[in-house]
Amino acid sequence: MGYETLIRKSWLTGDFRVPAGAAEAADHGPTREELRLKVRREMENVIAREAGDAPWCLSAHKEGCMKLAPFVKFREEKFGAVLFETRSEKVYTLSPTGAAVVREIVAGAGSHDLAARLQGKFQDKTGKLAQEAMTFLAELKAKGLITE
Amino acid sequence: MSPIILPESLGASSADLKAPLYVAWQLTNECSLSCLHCIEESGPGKAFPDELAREEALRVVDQIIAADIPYVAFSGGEPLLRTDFFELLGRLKGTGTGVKVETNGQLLDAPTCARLAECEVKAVQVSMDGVSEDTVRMLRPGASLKKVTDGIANLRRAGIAVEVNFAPTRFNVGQIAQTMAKACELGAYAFYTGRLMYTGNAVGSWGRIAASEAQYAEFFAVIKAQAKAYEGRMRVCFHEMGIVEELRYRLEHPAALFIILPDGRVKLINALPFTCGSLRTDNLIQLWQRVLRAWKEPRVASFVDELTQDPGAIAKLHQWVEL
Repeated sequence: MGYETLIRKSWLTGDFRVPAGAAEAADHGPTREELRLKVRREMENVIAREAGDAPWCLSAHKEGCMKLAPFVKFREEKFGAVLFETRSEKVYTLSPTGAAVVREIVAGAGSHDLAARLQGKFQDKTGKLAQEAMTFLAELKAKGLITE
Repeated sequence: MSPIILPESLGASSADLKAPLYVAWQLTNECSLSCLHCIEESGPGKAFPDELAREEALRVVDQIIAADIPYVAFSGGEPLLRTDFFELLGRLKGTGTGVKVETNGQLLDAPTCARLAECEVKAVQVSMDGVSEDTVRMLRPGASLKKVTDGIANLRRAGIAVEVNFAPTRFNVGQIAQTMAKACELGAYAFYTGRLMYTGNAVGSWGRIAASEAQYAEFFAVIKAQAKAYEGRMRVCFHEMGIVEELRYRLEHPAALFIILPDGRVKLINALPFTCGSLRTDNLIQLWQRVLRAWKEPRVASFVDELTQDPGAIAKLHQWVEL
């Protein structure tokens, strides 16, 4: 089994073990241990690349709060705010409501208390703001701009 | 870099921003290589006589931090050649301003990459113009492809995100597929390419190096065909649009960025020769306002019109015009 095939198989199945004989197959190829380390390093690279910063995301998950993804910057502006995703260099302009949501996330809100925090701050009796905020939150998560 | 576009649906544009979102800072014009296709006029011994001194550069860094600019790209020339490079980087560490470094990839030994990681650099963009040592040496006299690939490996080992940049010429367009594969194998998360620009050192060697339209057609066809295969592993970004179309769009939608030249002057974007003021003497926020006004100057639109009539006028990009 070639190295790339092994990587693909591991990625798809979650099984990171090197099958018996894979390393021995090539006389001059890497040893089993070298191959194992190579696969492990590659998987770590993939994880780091996908998640931006895996340890950081895991810590956010452990704390049960939401955070801006490591490659996202937030800046308040007169019209609301901007989110700048440095990896894709994409800019998202936010309305004042969007800015308020992200401000709460930066301040440490969790998805369980975000609506209540906004309702308290904006005296929103209709619940419309909270509803909009949760929709917006789902969008932010879907775009990978925040992690939980 | 990819264009920064603010969705018009929200009614906000660059003009509404209190400061740029992105600053591309050419730290020095000095370079260790004499690339035939360089879009700057960089090379060994090409540092400007009046480049920003250490204290001046540090003051600019402080202004970038104070203006809450999310992202700054250090380029050159070769930015790693500046003796105060790591001091400038260190000043930005932990400030909320992310840093990207654009390098020719010749100086990325393990200790240098460890220092870049220590300074919390967000990404390093490395030029890799092929998979053949001969091709790279021909296009980049003095360069070594092995140094580039070893450098990328060192960056990945240090945990730094890597982008690969590919400049197409008639000598390397045929290596695009292999170069994309190599970049992905080395762990790059993004791959950038686009048409070569007729400016900088490329003007002098254009007749020898420019790819033909037929070559470009094949080049972009290969990229489009393969880009999907890299989804989820490496982002493939390419600009098929010519410079005039890009500039026409920019006249309507100014970029949320500016360029800082090695001597501190501020330039609208790479593809225009216009400067407006200098960070040696002016405040960054004031200069941002001047940049926004400059986009509306008739001379800027006239230059774009001139380019439409005579694409060769782009060779004048380094004859800077102060607005």
